[in-house]
Amino acid sequence: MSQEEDFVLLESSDGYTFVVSRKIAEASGTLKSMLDEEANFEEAKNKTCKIQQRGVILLKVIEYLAYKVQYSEFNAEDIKEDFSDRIDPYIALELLTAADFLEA
Amino acid sequence: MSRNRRAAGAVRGPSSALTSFLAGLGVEPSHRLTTWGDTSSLNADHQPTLAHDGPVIDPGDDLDPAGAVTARNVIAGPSEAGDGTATLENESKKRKRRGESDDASVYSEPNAKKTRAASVDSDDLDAEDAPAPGPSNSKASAAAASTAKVAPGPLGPVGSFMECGECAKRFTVTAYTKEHPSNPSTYLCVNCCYTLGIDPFAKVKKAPVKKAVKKEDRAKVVHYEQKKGVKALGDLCIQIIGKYIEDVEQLGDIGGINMDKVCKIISKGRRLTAETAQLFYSPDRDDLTMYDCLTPEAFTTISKLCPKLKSLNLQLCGQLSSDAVVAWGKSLKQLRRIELFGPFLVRKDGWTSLFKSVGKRLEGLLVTQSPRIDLEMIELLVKSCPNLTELRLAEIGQLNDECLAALHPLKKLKLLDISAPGNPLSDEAVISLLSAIGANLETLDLTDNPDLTDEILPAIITHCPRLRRLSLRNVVELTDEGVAAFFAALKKQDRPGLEWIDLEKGHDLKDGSLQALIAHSGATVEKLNLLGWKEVSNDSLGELAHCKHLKELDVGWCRQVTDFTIKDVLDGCGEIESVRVWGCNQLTDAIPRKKGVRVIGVESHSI
Repeated sequence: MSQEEDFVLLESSDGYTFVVSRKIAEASGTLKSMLDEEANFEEAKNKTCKIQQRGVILLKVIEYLAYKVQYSEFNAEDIKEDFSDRIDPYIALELLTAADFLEA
Repeated sequence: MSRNRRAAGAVRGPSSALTSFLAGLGVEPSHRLTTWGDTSSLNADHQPTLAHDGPVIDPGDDLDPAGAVTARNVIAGPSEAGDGTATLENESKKRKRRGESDDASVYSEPNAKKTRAASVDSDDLDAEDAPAPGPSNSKASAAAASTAKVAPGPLGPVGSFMECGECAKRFTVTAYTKEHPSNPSTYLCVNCCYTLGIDPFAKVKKAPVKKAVKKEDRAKVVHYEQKKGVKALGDLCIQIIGKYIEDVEQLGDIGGINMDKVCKIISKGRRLTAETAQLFYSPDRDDLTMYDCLTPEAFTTISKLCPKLKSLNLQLCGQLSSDAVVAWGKSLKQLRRIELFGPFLVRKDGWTSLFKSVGKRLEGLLVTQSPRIDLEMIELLVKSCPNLTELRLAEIGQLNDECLAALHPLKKLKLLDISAPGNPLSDEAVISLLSAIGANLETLDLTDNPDLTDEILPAIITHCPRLRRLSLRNVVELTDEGVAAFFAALKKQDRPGLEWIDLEKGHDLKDGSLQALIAHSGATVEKLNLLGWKEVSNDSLGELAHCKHLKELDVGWCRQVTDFTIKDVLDGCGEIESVRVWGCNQLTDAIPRKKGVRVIGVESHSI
């Protein structure tokens, strides 16, 4: 299967699951290592990563990863869309811990 | 017709040395070298020829009337451009006038000097007086409209051909080439410059501007390279947290442990500023730990925003000032324990004020790296804070044997850390200190004291009956026999086992020490550091399996460690959490694993 069409499953601590294209999941350093096929981890075999974060946090992280992939080839000053508008301050602290863990 | 007129005018522009020289010899170009296909806009000037300042050239010569750089001149070299401005100033002024007259007579009879007056309109006069560039010149705009449009584009390099934005004729780009005033990104040939009232040789202005732009460009290039893609999510979050810092409720409550985690994350990114630090201040906190600290003002506000603090731990607090320390002493009425890493800027007056105001309340002072703490400060500390139970004076440059003597009255000490002093401490000073204060000591750290020898070991046994944690890291004089005797004596006296043992870089330590250590403390030790015991044998290391409570083990640079040693440890030590094996080069990829245990530093794992 080509890398482009490959999908992986991300599962939150409260049981929500997200099917995400591998390309987007691998924008996170941690997920990339977890899903690295050479490393032979359980996660890579099953294409499933359990993330110890709430679903709402994980959803926002995935949203950010998609945004990151979309703009990965852009110059910083050309990006007009500001992701911080899409972050609810109420989840900022939790999101920060998730972002740190996932190396987003 | 232009040829004739031009011939009559005998106008000559600046020419290269080569041109002049050849002209002097009578060598003339056999064909037109100018790139201007047609000079019809030039009118014959029947006035007497202008004064020449060089060798006379035949009037029939085909040099450009305006002295623009011809193909030949370009070859002649760049010195041309430099000379041009000064010598041509006069001439170009005259030419400008002539240009106007040429322009005026474009549509009239070529040789009619009389018609000039008739054809001149008020615009012309205006233009002549104030040859400001701009589309206000009606004729210019009319001409622009009448001529073929040239696609705009960047200015070519000097010497290349471009089409004039005004008359669409080809011309050679020079250092002087001007942009069209009304059609941006198109450029003018010299003739059209005159037509539009622009001095084609005005260069002076351009040079500094160009330089400035260049500098900016260079700065931008770096900028451009640095920023590709979007901002990190963590940074965005910190930004938002900073924005809503005043409204902590909006940020949600994620619990104390997570707050500490957030503090670590923010510190890791070096984003802990006066604004973000407020996230961690709250009036009901009684302990505060920060890992990367801040501006001097933020330290002062700690005392106002967290008045109930009992314990304060600031790592990397190099910016901490004396004033902030004084403020703590005055307003933190419950402060009991202070841990500081690197308070370089706190001067003697700051320490004095703090020690005096905190006084008997102070139970813990843990300072690493301060150049201002000396004998005088230590004497003051001992006098004003008799209730100290924890004292760390690590990496204090002025610490010496005399300072240790001053510490004798601190009988309540449970933790003493006098590692890495500026002046090596002697056996006698340490032994006499231990005899004075050892009764309650539970933790003793004598790391990096190169002058200490085996002699301190019996003193530790005699004077420190409650010792649980011992660090003799990098005490290089220790011998295998001495350490083995130390643990054997502890065993003989039936002392309780130690919890932490750090004998890192004990280069001479080997099997005897390790076996005695395991015999005495094996059942209790939780943290064991044997880094650098290069001669210790595989068999002895295998006995580590008897350490049932071992959690952290460092066997770095113990060269005899094999996969089987690690297997013994993982199988035998039920509580093991991490094993460090840097420099154990007999380990292979086949190293055994165990769930929940991190084996760090396997050589074949790093690529």
